[in-house]
Amino acid sequence: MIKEDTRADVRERPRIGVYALTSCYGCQLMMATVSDILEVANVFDIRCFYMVSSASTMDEEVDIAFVEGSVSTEKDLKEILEIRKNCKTLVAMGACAVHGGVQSWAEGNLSYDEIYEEVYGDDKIDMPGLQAAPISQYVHVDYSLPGCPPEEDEIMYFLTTFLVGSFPEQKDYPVCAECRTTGNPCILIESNVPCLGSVTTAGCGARCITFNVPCIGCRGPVPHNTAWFDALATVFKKRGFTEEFVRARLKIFAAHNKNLDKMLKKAFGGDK
Amino acid sequence: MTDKIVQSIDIDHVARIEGKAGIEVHFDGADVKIAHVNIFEGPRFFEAITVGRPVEEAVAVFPRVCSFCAAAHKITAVLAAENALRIEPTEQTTKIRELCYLGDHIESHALHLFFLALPDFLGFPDAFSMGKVHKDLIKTAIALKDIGADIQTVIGSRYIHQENVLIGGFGRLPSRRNMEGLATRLKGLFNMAEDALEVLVSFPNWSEVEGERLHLALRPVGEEYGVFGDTVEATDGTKFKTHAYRMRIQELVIPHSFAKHSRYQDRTFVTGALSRVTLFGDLLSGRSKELVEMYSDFLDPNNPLANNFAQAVELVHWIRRAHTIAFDLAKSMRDESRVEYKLGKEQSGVAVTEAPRGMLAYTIRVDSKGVITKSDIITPTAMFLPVMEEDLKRLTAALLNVGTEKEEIAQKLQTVVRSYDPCVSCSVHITDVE
Repeated sequence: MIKEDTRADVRERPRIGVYALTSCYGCQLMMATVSDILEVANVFDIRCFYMVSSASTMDEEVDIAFVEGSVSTEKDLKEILEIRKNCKTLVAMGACAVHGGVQSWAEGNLSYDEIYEEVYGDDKIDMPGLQAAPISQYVHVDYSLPGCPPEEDEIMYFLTTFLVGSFPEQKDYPVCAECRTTGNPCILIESNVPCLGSVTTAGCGARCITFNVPCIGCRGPVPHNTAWFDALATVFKKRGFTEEFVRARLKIFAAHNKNLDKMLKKAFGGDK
Repeated sequence: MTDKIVQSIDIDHVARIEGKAGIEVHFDGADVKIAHVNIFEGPRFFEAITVGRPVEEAVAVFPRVCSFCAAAHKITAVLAAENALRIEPTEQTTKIRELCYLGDHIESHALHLFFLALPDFLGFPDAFSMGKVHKDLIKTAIALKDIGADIQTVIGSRYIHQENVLIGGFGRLPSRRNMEGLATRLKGLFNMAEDALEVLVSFPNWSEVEGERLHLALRPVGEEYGVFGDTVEATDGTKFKTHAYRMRIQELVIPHSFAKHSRYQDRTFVTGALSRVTLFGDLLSGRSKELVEMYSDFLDPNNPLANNFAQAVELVHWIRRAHTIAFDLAKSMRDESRVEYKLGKEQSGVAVTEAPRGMLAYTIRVDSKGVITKSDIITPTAMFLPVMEEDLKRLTAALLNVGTEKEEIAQKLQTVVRSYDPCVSCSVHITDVE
């Protein structure tokens, strides 16, 4: 049942802010278009959500801040520091905020100057840019909501746990687990396509594999070293996919993930 | 003497647009010195980070340029890649892609009109508060947004960053039953699709912002108003083949902008729904044609606010066109595998399509190993931003002349920016009109 918007309620409702750094605005679009958005707008006090409301402000305190995007400019950096100061709980929302996102793909291969030159040549621009980085590089992040974009049910899960005063738990199993329960054939084994499901965090319900499209790892590496090392993660090597190939593909969305190399070493038996 | 002091209007963050942009206007009396659209999005370097990567991975990354028009980026990138690999999609694939693309237009136009633009005209800060008063309107908004999103999900796997649109075809084809379901829902929305236009016709365009401009749009293939084509036409009577877009549309890097500036034969120009209706409105048919004729006064090519009306008319057309395609596919869809490609020598491919906000151009160069060696993207927002700034300057001057308060000017400037439906993620940009 939708509560009436009375002043007493406004004081009790958790205050949330939805903020954007450099990104495609897809995470906010997901959040703005969840099917229960009108109820979300009623049970929370939305203080900042520039994409949907002109009654937004950056410098107000909120209980929970959802931040989309990577830190890619000095202005982004200034804003994320301010957001952290103004919120109690900070959620990194989506691949860019969590792992730097696709704009970090060249991380470790090309410097900021080299990427800049490819796009803009010798011409100069007077705005200070930064090598794209996840927000955790600059501020403490309380929770991470993975995905490019995040799934609707996970956004609702995060919101509802905060609403009841609890906290969201991270998924620590790979897409393969969901793919098995969905009943898909394994396209890595049967069609020999480089599907990243065994090393990618679950939560999407194996969406792409259900469409016969290999997983490209948009939800990032499985946390806590719980990829399927004893099963499908070791199949890459047997099928002739090199560690470098899989690393480059995982880096599309997770260039800044600290667990990446360790996970790949284990999957390719580098420690033996 | 106060009117001699240089004053300014600063809007740090324009709400209800895709991306982060501000407006900065400086004036001396009624003499407007500067009108800036400051865009604070950081650079994302899609043209650089995809170099050296396999073309299959690159086309998965390109839709991430923008969430509101992800399908547009995905389909255009795939078409450019196919062109580089010298393969042709099948007729059925083209039809399914067109339906997916129309899903993007429907979703994007519905979001823009109901969630971003209409609250201005009806006097609300956002669609949530507007929905408390105008319950039917928000129901319509959600129904239209949903069908646009669901078309893309059924075909492309999801409505933001579709993965099931691939070089050569699809991983899995939607079923005939899927198409039947979409066709039935689309038919039920024919009336609702007119609601945005119904609200808008109570709000005439502001004459203060009027000014001549050049429109560019893609002539649709066949006789039907649509999104694919191979020739670009302009309102000055000139035209060029899409393969020559890099010759005809110049890109300039300007000192304080991460978005390159576009010019057509040294002139600024606009692109988008209003350009399409202006140039090819005669190709509309049935109800949308009737509406264009009925409300031609509102579709003034020289008024940016008319873009809202053009989108509202397109919404009527896209819903009907999508219905026709879905209905047809529900009967004709057959199993088909992806067209395979052979890697040959290094070659470039080009594709230009009509995205919700206007022309979107891609060039992709692929080498003999299937690796990208060069890519070039021009987005519609980068094309029309210079004209938008000319409009802001003209509007400010006209309003100052009649003594309008700063606060009201600021509101109106934001309404004009929204009418363009800018997609800031696509183009990072700060510029100076003097």
